[in-house]
Amino acid sequence: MVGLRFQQDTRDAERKAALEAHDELAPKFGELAIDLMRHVRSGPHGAEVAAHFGAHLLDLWECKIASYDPAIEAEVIAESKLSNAYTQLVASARFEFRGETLNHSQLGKFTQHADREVRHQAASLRWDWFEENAAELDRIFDEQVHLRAQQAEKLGFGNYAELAYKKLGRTDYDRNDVRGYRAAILEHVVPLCARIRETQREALGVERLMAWDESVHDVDGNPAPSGTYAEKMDQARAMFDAMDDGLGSFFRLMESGRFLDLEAREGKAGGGFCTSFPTHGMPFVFANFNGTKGDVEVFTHEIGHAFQNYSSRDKTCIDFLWPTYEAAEVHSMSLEFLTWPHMERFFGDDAERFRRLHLTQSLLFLPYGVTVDAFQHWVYDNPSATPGDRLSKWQELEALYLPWRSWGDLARPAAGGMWQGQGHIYRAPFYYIDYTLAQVCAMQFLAKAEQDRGQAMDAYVTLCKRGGEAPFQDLVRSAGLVSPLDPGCLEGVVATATEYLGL
Amino acid sequence: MPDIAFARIPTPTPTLEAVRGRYEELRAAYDGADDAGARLEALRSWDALRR
Ligand SMILES: [Zn+2]
Repeated sequence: MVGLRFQQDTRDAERKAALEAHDELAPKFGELAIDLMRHVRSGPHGAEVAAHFGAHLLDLWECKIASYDPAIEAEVIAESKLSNAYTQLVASARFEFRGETLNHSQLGKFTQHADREVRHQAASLRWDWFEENAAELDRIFDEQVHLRAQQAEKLGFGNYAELAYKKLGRTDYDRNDVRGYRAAILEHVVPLCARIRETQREALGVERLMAWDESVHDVDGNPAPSGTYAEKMDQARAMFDAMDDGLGSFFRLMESGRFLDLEAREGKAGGGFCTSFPTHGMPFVFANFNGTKGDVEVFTHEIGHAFQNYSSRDKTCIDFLWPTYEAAEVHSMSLEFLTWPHMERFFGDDAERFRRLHLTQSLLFLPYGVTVDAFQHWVYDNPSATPGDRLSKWQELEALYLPWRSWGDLARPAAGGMWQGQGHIYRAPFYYIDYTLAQVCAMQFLAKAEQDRGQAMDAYVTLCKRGGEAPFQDLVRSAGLVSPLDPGCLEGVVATATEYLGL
Repeated sequence: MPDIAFARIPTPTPTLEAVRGRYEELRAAYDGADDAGARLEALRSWDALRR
């Protein structure tokens, strides 16, 4: 609650003080919670607790117990200070561009500009900044890698990846499963994405698709939603009423209780997220609408998270309210696809163009996501590698998973420095593959819905109600999906997407 | 439709002393319980506090 109130108005000193007081206390409360988990788990009545709440609860507790110890407190604090240093460094960048002073995210909008020369200039500015700050970006990451390796060693893990998997609550798969999944992406998804890039190159009429062309898919530019904020809300209400399955009444409840804060305004923090008040059983959705297609994507995505949280509000224990990340993103990304038949409400005649673009970008994300994952496994397997080694490794992985990429005269990314713009690598190690796993599940929901919409919605609602009471693969299989980590899963997803896109 | 509004949800202001006190109470209740029902009740109370 204090975090949300601060993000709603970052200029309010009282809200900031409340957040700081909370941030100081939260780890101490966390310690008490872990104390009790350890006590119960190691006591004589663990089996009784598992029988009542489910065995998954004790597995989750085991992850929390194994990944925390007061002995690593100093490293954890130092690591988080470095994460903040990264955030602040990136946020401090200012660019003079076309008569305006811009930050990274404002400059980022020009990567979709219709004029190729403008895109190239914006990309040059962005990557020149990373080049100028390379030494500091290398130093921050190098220190983080060492601090993370020390934590793993102190806690008795062979490698930081093992600790990170525990921290992320991954109880039903390991790094070998993930390695197999990356190989399957390489075998089945990369060739399809290469065809998509070739089609894109032809549509843009360029001789070679350069890195600064990748965000533009056709000469008409991206479809944008029409109407005022109030009109969009009317359309959203009508859409959820038509979809029903409880979504209509849920959305009205969110609206009438004012659990939505969606419009950008002065002093409000950026981004979009969903949080919840478990005592009251209500989620809250935060966003910053700016008139692009992203408004609709963020909106349906965050409502997916909110609907899941609301649906599982009566779960017997707090640890089951939100699932682990890869499972949580299934609810949000799937709702983005399940709302497809209603996109005419927002995009009019451009709806089909929106749908194709949505599917295309979802597919293109998969090879990038596994690049980030493969890189991190290598980094923590080789904690004494130099910053230069890391650049070479990224370059090698990019050539493997993103073979169409041409950086041209952008020196820093051409030398393997692109990963330094991916904040997760600094701030949330190993949390990235989750998005790709969820995306593969969401695409299966799309395929199910194309066959039988009612059945797909039923499966979706049932999945939402389960919250986090089971591990990832158990949850997705119970919804009639194939686990992305199972052999053969990606062939099916690729076949459906290929047919839809006519490639 | 339940009557609930964001504006009426209070900001909790727990103190470390209060939470630690409650933690010790519930842990003692869990350890001292005679049957499974009482043990689970102590865990449920702790769960409610964590929310
Ligand atoms: Zn999400």
